[in-house]
Amino acid sequence: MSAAARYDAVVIGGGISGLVAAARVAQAGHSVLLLDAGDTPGGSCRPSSSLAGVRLPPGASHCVALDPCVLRELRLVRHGLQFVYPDRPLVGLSRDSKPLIVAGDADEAVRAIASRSPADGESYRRFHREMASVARAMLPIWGGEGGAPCASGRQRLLLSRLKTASAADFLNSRFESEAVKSLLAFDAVEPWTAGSALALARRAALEVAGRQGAVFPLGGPSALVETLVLAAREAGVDVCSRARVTGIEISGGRTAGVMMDHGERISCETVLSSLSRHETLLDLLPSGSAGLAECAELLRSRPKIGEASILFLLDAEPQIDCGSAPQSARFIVADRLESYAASARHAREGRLPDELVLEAVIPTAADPSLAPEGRHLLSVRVPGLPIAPLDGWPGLAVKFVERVVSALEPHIGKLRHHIAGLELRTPDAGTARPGLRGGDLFLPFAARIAAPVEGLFFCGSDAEPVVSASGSAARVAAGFAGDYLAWKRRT
Amino acid sequence: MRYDAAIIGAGSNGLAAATVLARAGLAVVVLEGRPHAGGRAATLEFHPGFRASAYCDEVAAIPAAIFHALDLAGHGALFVPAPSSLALWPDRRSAVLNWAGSEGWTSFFRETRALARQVLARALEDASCPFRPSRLGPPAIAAWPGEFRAWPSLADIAAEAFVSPDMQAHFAAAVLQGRSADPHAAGSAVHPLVPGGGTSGAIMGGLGTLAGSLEKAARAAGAELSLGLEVADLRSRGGTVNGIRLADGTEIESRCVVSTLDIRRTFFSLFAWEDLPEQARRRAYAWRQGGATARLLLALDSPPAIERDFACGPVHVCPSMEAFARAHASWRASTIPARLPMTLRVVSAGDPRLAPRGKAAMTATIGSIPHQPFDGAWTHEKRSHLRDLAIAQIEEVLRGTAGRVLGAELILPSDMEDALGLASGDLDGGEIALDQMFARRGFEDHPGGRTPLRGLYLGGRASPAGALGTCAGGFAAAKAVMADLQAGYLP
Repeated sequence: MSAAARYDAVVIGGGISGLVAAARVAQAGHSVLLLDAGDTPGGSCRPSSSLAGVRLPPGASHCVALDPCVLRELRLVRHGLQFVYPDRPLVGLSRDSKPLIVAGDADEAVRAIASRSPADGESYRRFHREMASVARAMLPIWGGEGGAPCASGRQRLLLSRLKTASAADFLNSRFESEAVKSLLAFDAVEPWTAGSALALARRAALEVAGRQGAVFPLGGPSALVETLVLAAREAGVDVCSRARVTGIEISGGRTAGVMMDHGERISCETVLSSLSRHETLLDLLPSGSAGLAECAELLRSRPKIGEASILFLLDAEPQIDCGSAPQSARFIVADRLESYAASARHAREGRLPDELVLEAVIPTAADPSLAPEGRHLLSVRVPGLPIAPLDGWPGLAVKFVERVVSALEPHIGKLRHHIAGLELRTPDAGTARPGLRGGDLFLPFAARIAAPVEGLFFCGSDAEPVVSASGSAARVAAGFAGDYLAWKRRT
Repeated sequence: MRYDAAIIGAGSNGLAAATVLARAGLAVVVLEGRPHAGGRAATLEFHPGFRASAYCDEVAAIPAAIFHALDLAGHGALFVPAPSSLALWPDRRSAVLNWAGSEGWTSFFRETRALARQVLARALEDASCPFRPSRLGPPAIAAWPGEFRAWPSLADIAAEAFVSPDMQAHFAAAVLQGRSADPHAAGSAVHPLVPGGGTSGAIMGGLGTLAGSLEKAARAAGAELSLGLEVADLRSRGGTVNGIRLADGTEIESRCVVSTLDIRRTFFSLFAWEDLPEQARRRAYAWRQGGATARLLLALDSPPAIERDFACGPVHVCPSMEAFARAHASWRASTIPARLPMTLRVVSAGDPRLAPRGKAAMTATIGSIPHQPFDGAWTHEKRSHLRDLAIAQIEEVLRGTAGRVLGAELILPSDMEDALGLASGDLDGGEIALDQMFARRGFEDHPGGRTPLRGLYLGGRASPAGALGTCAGGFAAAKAVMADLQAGYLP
C-alpha cells in the first residue's frame, strides 16, 4: 500500500461479518479494503492457538448460523464449502431427573414434555405454533428485508405481549414444570428483562429462514472463514492482515479515512465496522464526534455481564448420559429459572454466580475432523459472568474451570480424567453487548446498522438482533454502504 | 328496578365512577361488601390515641382534571403537597431529594410529570371513544406516549439524572416505595410513570378524610350506595353482562357493570368458569399479581430526631440499588429480605391530630414483603420477627427510636387481602411491568377498561387508566360507559 492509498470502502475486522460485508460491497463494483488485526483473517473464528491440531476456537461452535442468502450470493458452495447436518435437539440436563429432550420435531417434543407434565405438553404444542407464527411475522425485521412486521390481528396482540414481557414471566404463564421453563429460557439471553420473550422466537425464526441453527460448515468456522476469504478476494477485496485500526477520520461530519497503528492513513468514502458499537464510537472516533448524548449513554451502559467459553480437548469420547438424544445435541444445564436472574445479579456485583447456567456441545460428534485423530472436543458456553470480577479474571480462571467441570461431571462420567487440554475465553468487554433492552429485538436492521456519523455503518454482531455469526447484518450493512456510495457519486 | 350502571366496590375508583355517571343523570348503584366506603383510603386507630392511614400514607395524586370534575375540594378534601425527602444511611450519611431544586431532578421530574399527563390523556381518550367491535380482529394500536421512556432500567435513568450513587439510590427508593422491582432489569423505568411513589400528596386527617369527601360527592350527585352487601355473581346472557346477583340472592338488573376489583377477582370469583370467554380466562390466568407492601404503624413516646425540614418526611432507610435487587430476588423466592426497603413518615408531624400531644405516630412502608412466605402462612413468630427486624433497621439510622415505641401494628399483604379484597394483597392491582402497562393493562383489543364481555368494564387499578392516579380508573370507566351508551353499544 502506498501512502496515498484510496478506497471506496474500508471494512474493519476480518471475522465472518467483516468478510461478508467486504465481499458484498465489492460485488457491487466498489473498491474495498479489509483490515484485520490478526495474523490471518477470522476474528473470533480463528482456530485455537494453544491446542495443537484443533480447528476450532472456544465458543465458536455455538453461534454460527449462516444466512442462506449469504451462501447463495457469495457462491460459497462453488468455493468448496461443505456442510454437515447434525441432529441437534435441545436437551436439559438435571442432577435430579432424567434428561429432558426437546426435539426439533414438535410431536416428539410434545411427547417428551408431556411425560413430565401432560398440561405442559399441550402448552408446548401451542407455544411451538405461536413461536413459528411470530417468527414468520418478524421476518421483515429479522430477515433484513426491512419494513414493519406483517401480522394479523391475533398475531399483533401476541407480538405486542412478547415485545414487552420478560421471557421468564411468559414461560411462567405457560408452563408449570421448572425443567421445561429453565430449558426454554436459555435462548432468551436474559430471561428476566422486559422484552426478552421475543428472543424465544429466534430459534423458530432460524428454522423458518431455513438456517435451522443446525447447518454447520464442514471443518468448522475456520473452514467457513477460508471460503469467505476466497470469495472476498474473487470479488476484488484487498485483504490486509496485521493491520490494527487506531482511529476513524472524520471530515465535514463524514467519514474520510482510517488511521492505522503504524501511522499509515487510508482515505475512503465509507467505513464498515464489525467491532462493537462501544469500541467503534468511543475508541476509534475522534472524541465527541458521535454526539455527546450518544457517548454519555455508551459510557454509562458499558456492559458488566458477559459470557465465557471453554473448549476442552478430551482423549476419550465424551458420553453424555442423555437417553435417546444424539451426542450432537445442545445440552443445557440450568437448574431453575431463578438461576438466570441470580447469576446476572452476582455478575453485576462482580462475583462468580453460585449456580452456573451453561450450554455444552460436542463439536466432534458431528464433525470428527475438528480434532486430531483419536481426540474429541467439548465446547462449553457460560453466560451471566462478570466482565470485571472483583478478584480479576486471572485469579478466578482456575476456580471457574473447576466449577464448570464439576457442574458437568454428573452428566459426563470421568470428564476430569480425560481432559488433555483446554482453552478458556474469558468474558471480554469488547465483544459483550450491553444488557438487552426490551424493544431491541424489534428494532429494524437500519437502526442497528446506522451510526451517528455519516458514512459509518456497523456490520458486526452488535448489528444482529441476537448475537450470532450469521452474516445477515453484514449483508444488509453492505447494501446500505453501496447505496451511500452511489448517492455520493451522484451528488 | 333496572339501573343504568352497577359499580362493584366503593373505593376511590368506584366512588369516582359513580359520581361521574350519576351527574350525567344515570341511575347508578354502588355495591360494597364492607360496611363502610373508601377502600384503602382508611384511617385506623392502631393504638389508643394514635391514628394513621393504614394501607398507604399518600395517595397517588388525583389528576387535577379529575379532582375538579369531582369537586372534591368542595366536599372537604385538603391536600398536603409532598415534602422533600431524605435518605439516611447507618454511617450517618444522608442525602436530600428536593422536588424543587435537586441536581438533575427538576428537569427529569418535570418531564416525567408531563409524560404521565400525556399517558393519562391517552387513557381517557381511549375510554371516551365509543367501542366498535370489528370482524377483522383488533386494529393496530399506536404506541402510547411514554412507552419509549419505559424501556430502560431504573438504574439507567437514575444514572442519567444523578451523578452520585447515593442520589441514584435515593431516587430509586422514592420511586419504588413499597413495591418490589429489580432496578437493573430493563423495563423497570416504567415505575416513575406510575404514580404511587414520591410524586404524590397526603391528605389532612389521614386518608379517611378523602374517603369521606368522595362518598359525599357520590351521594350528592345522586348515586345509591349499598354497603355491607357482597356481590356473588354477574348475570350474563350471550356474552353480555346484564346484572348482578348478591350473596343474599337478590338480583339487580343493570345495563352495565363496572368492576373495580382486580382482573383475577373479577373473572374468577364473579363468573362461572364456563361463562367466561376463552380470552378473558387466559388473560386472568396469565395476569401477574403479587402483594409486596407491608406497613408498620408505630406509636412513639416522643418524636424521633429528624431534622425539622424533613420532620414529616418521607425518610428512606439505607437505600441502595444492590439492596433493591436483592430484596426483589428474595421477594420472588418468598423470603423476607435481609435489608428491608423501607420508607418512614412521622405522620403526626404534618397533622398533629393523629397523635396525643407530645407523642408521635410514625409509619414505615416496607417493600418486597412476600404475600406468603415460602414455608407457609404468616405466623405470630414470623410477624414478630419482621417487626423486630424493621425496628432494628430503623434504630440504625434514627438512634433511640426503638426505646420510644409504645405500640406497633404490622399490616402484611395477607392482611390487606383480607381487609380490602385485593388478590394477593397487591395494592397496584397487578405487577407494574411493561407487559402489564399502557394498552396491555386490561385487554389490549378492548381499550378504555372494556372487556371481551359486553357491558362489563374494569374500573380499578387493573385498568389502563387505573395505574395512573387515584380515581383515574373509575373516571375512565365512567367515560367508557357513557360513550358506549351514547353509541348504542349497550342494550
